[in-house]
Amino acid sequence: MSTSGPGVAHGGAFEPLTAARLSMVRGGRRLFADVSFELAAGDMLLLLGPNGSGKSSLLRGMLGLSPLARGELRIGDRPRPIAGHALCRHTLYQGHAHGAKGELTAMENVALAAVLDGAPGGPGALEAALRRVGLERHRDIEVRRLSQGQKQRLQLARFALNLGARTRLLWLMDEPSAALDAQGAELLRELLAAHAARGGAAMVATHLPVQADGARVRELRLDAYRVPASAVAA
Amino acid sequence: MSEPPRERSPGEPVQPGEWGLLQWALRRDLRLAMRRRSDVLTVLGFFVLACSMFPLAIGPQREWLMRIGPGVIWVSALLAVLLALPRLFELDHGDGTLDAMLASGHPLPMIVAGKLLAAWLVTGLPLIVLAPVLALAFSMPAESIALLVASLLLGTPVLLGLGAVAAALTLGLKAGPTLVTLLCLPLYVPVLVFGAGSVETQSAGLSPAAHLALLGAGMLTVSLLAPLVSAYALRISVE
Repeated sequence: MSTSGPGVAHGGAFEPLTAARLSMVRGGRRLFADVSFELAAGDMLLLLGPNGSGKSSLLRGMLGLSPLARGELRIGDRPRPIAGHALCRHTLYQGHAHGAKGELTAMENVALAAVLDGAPGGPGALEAALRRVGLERHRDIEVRRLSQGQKQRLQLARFALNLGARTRLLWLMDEPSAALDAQGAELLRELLAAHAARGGAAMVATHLPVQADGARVRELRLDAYRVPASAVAA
Repeated sequence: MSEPPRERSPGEPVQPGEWGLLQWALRRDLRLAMRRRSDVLTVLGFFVLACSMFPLAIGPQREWLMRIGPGVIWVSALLAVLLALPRLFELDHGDGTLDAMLASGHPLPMIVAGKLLAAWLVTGLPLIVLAPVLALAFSMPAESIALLVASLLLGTPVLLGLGAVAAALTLGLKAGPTLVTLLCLPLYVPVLVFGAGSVETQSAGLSPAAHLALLGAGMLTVSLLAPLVSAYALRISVE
């Protein structure tokens, strides 16, 4: 199934991640409380919930981009401070903004991201990643001229590139399929399947159904963790 | 930044080193500046026009022009740097690339240092190159011009470094650019006093060494601290 990655060497296996009782308070409002989950190699966790239920914030909170109020994060059996950025180096994160410079070409953007992500950055690998996401004919086009869906595909090129690396085995994706067409959704499914097959894990915040063959897909509904403010009946 | 020692699994590819990161950010921002030349030219255009207004307003009295020249050029350079500050992090914040840098887990101060170096190369350095030409319009003597260039070389990194902290702190606020100006101007006063003052001192027949030494000390301090403090401020601003 995984045709693009060399597989995971013994040293680069995904260590199980345990999150216990994560809570976040933003602007005096409690977004979610006591969210707990476990992620092991090959797991895919879908974050579901209505707008504003804190899907993006949970992803950002795990990376230390937004502060978690309390909770516990463990990699393997090592506890990690929730206020730190310890997960960042193990993670490939895609936020809800498209994360590319509009003035630079698709190729330049992928090359820049490859360095930051510690992915194999040879021209061959970059070309292959662009081909995989169907942007090979747009490699020299400025990203601001691309459509929303194409920009989202460009983000996926980072993940395609990561399949060839043995690092950052936790994928955190924020609405990766919002602007994708049917083919793009299929591409996302393939990437996630290949990622699961090599022993990676993913958390995907989404409104749309996301599938990945071979991955153990679980759902985490964030609205279930909503705690009504004590004074107001929710 | 005190980070726990990195544990590296054997299969992990080599991550960019800290200097590699600085270079990465430097090259990236220089390339972006090449693609957005109008931004750079706006700042330089402002500098040249602001300086040229004074001889037009004051008239061709050589004595007066000579006397106000260093001050005018310094104030214009300072305002030109202020003009460039809001875009330092705002664009990266808007398109999500700043998030990618923060989420990468690499030492952010090195990335910010690269960005600041690039910003100085595309705004500070051109101002310094243009300054002697403008100084001629103020009939400044050669030794004053040399000193003006030296003081700008030492002073513009301070302006940029202090401004970067303010820009990082106000990132994402609607009134950001205005706030940056308000935050920066008081901090710029000493730089201006010692920068423009050095030329003044020399014209009065005294040695400008003390002024330059203070500016140099300021430059070293700000160059070391600005990336650290800006990086910290950026983390707070994106929360």
